[in-house]
Amino acid sequence: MKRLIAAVLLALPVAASLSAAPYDEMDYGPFLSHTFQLPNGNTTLRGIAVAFDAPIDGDVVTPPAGKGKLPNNPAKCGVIFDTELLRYSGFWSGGFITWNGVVFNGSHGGNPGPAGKLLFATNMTTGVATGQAKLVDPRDYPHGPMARQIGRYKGLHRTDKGVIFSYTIGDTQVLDMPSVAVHNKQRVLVRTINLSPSKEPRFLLVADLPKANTEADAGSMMMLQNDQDAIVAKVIGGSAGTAFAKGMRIVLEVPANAEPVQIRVGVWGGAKKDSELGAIAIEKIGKPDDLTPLTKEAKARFTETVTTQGKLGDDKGAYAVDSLTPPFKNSYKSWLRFGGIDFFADGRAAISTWSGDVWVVSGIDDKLEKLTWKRYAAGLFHALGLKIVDDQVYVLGRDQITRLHDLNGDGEADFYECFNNEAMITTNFHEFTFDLHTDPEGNFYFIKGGPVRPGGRGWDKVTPHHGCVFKVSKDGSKLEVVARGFRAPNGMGVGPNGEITTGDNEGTWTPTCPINWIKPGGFYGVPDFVPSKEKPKIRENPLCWLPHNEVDNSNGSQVWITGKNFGPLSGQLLHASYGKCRLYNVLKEEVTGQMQGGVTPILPTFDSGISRLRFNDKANALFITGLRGWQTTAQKDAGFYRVRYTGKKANLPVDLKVTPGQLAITFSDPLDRKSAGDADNFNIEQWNYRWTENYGSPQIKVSDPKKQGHDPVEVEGATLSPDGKTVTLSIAKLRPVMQMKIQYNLKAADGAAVKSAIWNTINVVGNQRGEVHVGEYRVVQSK
Amino acid sequence: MVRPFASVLVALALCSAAPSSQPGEPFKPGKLPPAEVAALAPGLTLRFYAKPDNKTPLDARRVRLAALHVPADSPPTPFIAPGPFHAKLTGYLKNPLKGDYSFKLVGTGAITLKVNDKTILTLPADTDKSVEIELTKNYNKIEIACMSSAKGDATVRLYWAGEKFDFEPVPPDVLYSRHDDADLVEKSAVREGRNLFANLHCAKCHTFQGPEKSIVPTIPECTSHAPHLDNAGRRFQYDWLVAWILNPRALRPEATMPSVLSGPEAEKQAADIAAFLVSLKSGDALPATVPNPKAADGRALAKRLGCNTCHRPDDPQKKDELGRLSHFFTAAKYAPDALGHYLKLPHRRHAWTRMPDFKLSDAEAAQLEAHLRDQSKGVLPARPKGDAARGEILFEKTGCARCHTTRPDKQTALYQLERLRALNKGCLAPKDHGKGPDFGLHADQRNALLAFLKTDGISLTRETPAEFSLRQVNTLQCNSCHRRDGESTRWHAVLEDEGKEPEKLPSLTWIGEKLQPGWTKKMLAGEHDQRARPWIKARMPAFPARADMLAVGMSHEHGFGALEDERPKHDAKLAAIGEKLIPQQGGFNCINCHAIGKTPPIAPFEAPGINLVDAALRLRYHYYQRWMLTPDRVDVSMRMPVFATDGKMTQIREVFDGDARRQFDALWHYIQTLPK
Repeated sequence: MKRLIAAVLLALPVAASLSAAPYDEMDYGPFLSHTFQLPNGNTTLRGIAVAFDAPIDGDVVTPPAGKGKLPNNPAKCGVIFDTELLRYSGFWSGGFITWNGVVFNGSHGGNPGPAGKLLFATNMTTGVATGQAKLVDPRDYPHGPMARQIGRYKGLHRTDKGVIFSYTIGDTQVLDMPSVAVHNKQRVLVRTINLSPSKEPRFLLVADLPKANTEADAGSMMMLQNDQDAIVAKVIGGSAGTAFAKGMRIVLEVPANAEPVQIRVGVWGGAKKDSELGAIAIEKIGKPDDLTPLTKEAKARFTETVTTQGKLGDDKGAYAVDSLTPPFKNSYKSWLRFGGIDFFADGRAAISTWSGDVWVVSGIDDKLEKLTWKRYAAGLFHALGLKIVDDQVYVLGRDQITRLHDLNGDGEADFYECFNNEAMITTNFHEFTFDLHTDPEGNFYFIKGGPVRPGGRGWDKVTPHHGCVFKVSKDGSKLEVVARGFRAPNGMGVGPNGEITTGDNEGTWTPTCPINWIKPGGFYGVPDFVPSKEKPKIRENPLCWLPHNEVDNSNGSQVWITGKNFGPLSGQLLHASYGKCRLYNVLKEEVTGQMQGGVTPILPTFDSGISRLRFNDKANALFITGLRGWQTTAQKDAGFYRVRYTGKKANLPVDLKVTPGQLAITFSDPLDRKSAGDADNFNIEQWNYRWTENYGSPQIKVSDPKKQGHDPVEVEGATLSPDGKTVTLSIAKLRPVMQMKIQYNLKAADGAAVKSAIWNTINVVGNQRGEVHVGEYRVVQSK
Repeated sequence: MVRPFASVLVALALCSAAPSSQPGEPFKPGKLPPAEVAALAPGLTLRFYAKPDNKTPLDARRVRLAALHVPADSPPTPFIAPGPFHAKLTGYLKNPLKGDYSFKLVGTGAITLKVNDKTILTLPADTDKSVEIELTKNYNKIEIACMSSAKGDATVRLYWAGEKFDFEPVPPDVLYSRHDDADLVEKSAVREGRNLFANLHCAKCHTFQGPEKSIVPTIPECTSHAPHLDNAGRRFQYDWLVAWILNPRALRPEATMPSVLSGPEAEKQAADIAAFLVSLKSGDALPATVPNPKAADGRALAKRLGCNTCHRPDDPQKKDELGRLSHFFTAAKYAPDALGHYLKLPHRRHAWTRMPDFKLSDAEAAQLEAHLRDQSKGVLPARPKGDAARGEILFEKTGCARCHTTRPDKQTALYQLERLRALNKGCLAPKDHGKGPDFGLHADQRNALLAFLKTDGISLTRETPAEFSLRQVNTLQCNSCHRRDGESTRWHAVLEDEGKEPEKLPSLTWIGEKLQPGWTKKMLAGEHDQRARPWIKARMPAFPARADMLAVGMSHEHGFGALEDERPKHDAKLAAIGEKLIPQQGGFNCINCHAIGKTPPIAPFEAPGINLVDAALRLRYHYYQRWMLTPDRVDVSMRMPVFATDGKMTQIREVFDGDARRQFDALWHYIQTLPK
């Protein structure tokens, strides 16, 4: 055996032998949300997998500490609850789940599934119904939750005895707790179900057996068989007449009840020859009990906090960057890649991770000497956005916005409430959902990308929710599309007056990364994401385009500096590049209703892919989190930073104005008159991109769209304003252009070197307006 | 650092804002008069002198880079005998923005670098030294003068470094010089004449009287043969042969084959020769490569290979903006199945054909044939049958046999050669060629040939690989698919009309510096078992006859000897550190995009990289460092992450305190240990 293992190890790819697998070592907590794939195309788009330790005599049980061995642990059982269709998709034994997926093993395509032997499953239909036992998929379109009158997922209670799913069936409130019982070496899935009163009968799907050909039922007991396998189920409790319905599926019927009822269902699945053992085992499932008391609170599970020491950045420049060291080493081996951040009123931060955690950080003071990291929640599905409202944490996952409740105040979430789960999802690996913000009215915003195929080009199946900015009403009841056409926008921004901005990521139909200033109903690039036959042939102009090689190849969020004491960046909009790990000041102006502007870099490169930005007014500091999850120059998996204003001179461009023949750049601090007045200290080039279905666009000459390259722009003169801050460049041939690069090599009034560049877009100048049409950039005369 | 240049710096700064100089005045860097800007072309002018203070150069040509490499005992140009030489590279460095830059010279012999007429560096005194100066925005004059050593290779390379990039060869897209330079115009005509003499196979009929005796040309193009005509009867269609022999340029305006028949008998003679050719049949009919190939498959393949980058289907007499060869008459030309056989092995009967070998499978060749037959609509009139016996005599008599053989084992050029005498008669006559062949020469081609014929002709026995490679990159139209020096490709222009972009193919700008010539040679010869970039749908064709000299020439163009590669001595400790820099955890996550041996990359999202085993074999060490430090400066369309954004430090601070150069060096040592 040993020799065999050695041989297998040698054959492993270099990748595996070089790096440990952090996804394999991580303790995900008692449950894990994801899209799951069961055999025979049985897909659970929105699922929560729950793991159980259910050893049978003879199992070699690995010690509980060795969480990394979950998939191969024969003592493990797993069950998946489908939060869209409200069914238990499958039950298996012999391991937990396969770590297949972009967040786990980096796989482009594929989703996790049972890492053991499937004991039984249910078909992809609704798991609940009222009135009559019509258990089909009731949706017009097989994505997204079912209609409220059929049933809706409400949330998950983490309890001391296990996980309880809360959902509705029509007007019935349901609590449903899975557990596993072992009798005579047989594993049985036990569901304890509590139903509130209802005047209608309710039906719950229990199990399906492929090609079932024999049914035997005795009301409270039922068996399905096919040529090889069998499923045996038993029900105890419920209102009078609670029993399995006749038919080739195992469906529990609960007649109307005036009082709350408690039910217990046991299900055994296995080989036909063992069905008698199964029947004996399910006899022992015991009586149902009231679940409500369990939902009131749960003991903390992640009790071990981690303390790290931050590192203050140097104060040489106008802005200092402090590093708040992440707890890369933690008892839970949680793989930290930060996906969202916000602050509680007391200054503590909550940070979500791509792997599905929320951590709360305290001790964020001037010196950062003792930062305490406490794991607050886990098991979420790609938690890439986080917002705190009234001191309550809202986390954006790919499956839902989860509102986290710490019912007993022990610093850990007990109730994972489904705040809104109406955004449709598919099995595609790349349709990430990003960021979470609120507007002044309290509505929530997030953004979702498209189903990019492995390799980067083209799409998998497209739904009407791909590539959208979404707005969710303050109470979570309603989701609506604000704008469409985004490819892979890792981040957006919402301003103090409800201004909405987004980034996007170069690729199919995205010639290079833009910063979009969103108009409700606007279309921003990918025609395939517009659910109409007539696809758009023109897209909204972005605020600016960003060259992928120099500025941004993969975007992060935008943030508004709402504080007034943050030096020249007060009131400014900032943009983060995930791919280049850089932060930019966004210069912007509105010209006849059209936003335009550009960016200029602010600080040196960060060591992680900076993605989420929050300005904390109380701390008068900008906080940034970063990750490394996909292509980036980042070299750390996660980063948490604080940007402080030191009061020193920034010498930064803070405004850019384009008028016919003139381009005016305003700096934060006065410039040296001689250097700023010399046109030779400026170099301007311009180029266009081509908006097509291709993956990105080459840089194309304005003078000849058939050629790649840049065109020089002649700077005929430079004059400095009396206050020494605004340089006006005379450029006779100023025209709308997708990309301009303004380089300068100047001196500040105090002699300091002022060397940098602005990359901007001119959408409108005078009566000329640029339009991005399929395949060509047009300059038109406005009326 | 060479300190005395502080004064230079001040001097340059003082005149930087002033406009360009007037004749006679010292040069003032900055803007040039519009007329001069209009006369500028990319690259520098390279002149060779008998003595350094001579006014008239022995030779002059344009070079892409501030670089030169002449191996020991080799001629510096075909027009100069081997031995020590004096050379001068002159032109402008066009700088986008005023700023400080450092310069460094690498080379042998005595070299001086002048910037804006001030001497900045001299070799050997300033070996391994660099000097920082301020460059003005726009045009700065540069001049590199070198006197080669008496022995050994002669090498010159100019490097510069700026605020955010370390030393790199001065890139070709900032170098300019006047294309109307009198020396250049004169010497270019001679060069062009030499090329024509070689490419038109003049030496198949004529001797060139040298100073002492007749020249026996040895340069590659002269020794190459026109297509062999063995088995022509199985390959070509009779009606097409008649039309072609009668007037090649009617079917292909670019044809180098002359019209050799004239007068009232021409048509009949052409028919006779064609009859002779179709009688040449060896063995059975050509076998069909695969049954029932589909034109649609061929169309898809043609698209992938980019055939329409060099070819077009419409009438050859119709002007094509991109100068592509028409395949209007291709179906009329080839006998059934013969086209597929040709496409599969284009070099079989014509080693120096420009037609690339795409290593097509039988099925692909047949599909392409089906597609081309579907596309080429040219119809030729049916011709009366000629007399094969008469044709065989005419084939010899009219001179066809001087260039073409009709049997695989037969050699050409066993004839009594004529001396070139009259320069205005026969082939060189401006109009009436009499009985001589008509090459359809334009006036400038004729003038170039005349200019060349005034030389001693010894250049036909000398070749310099650097010139050969420049020439062949043009001849083979490498720029159809590959970018070079910031120029768009023809493929881009072709697809542009369809709103599509070609695949990202490697740029040729740095190829001579980047790749080990041995590796390049194997690539050009089609000898690599595996493709370096297997994800690219297009295919790098093979040009076996040219591979060797082309690879060496590309290297010389960049100022590198064919074997020159200054590598650090292998260090196992560094390799061990390098290995740790490979994975995602603690490293650069190289394996995300790069395969290592048979291990595929993890997730090469739209940016697959070269297998690191190949990288270790292919690259020169210094290029590798430059690529790792500033990939965005090497190729603007690259997707390789810039790990050292300031050109110095990476974010992996745990290894060598973030020193990018040392980390990349360790990686280099590691990839050298990978099993080949």
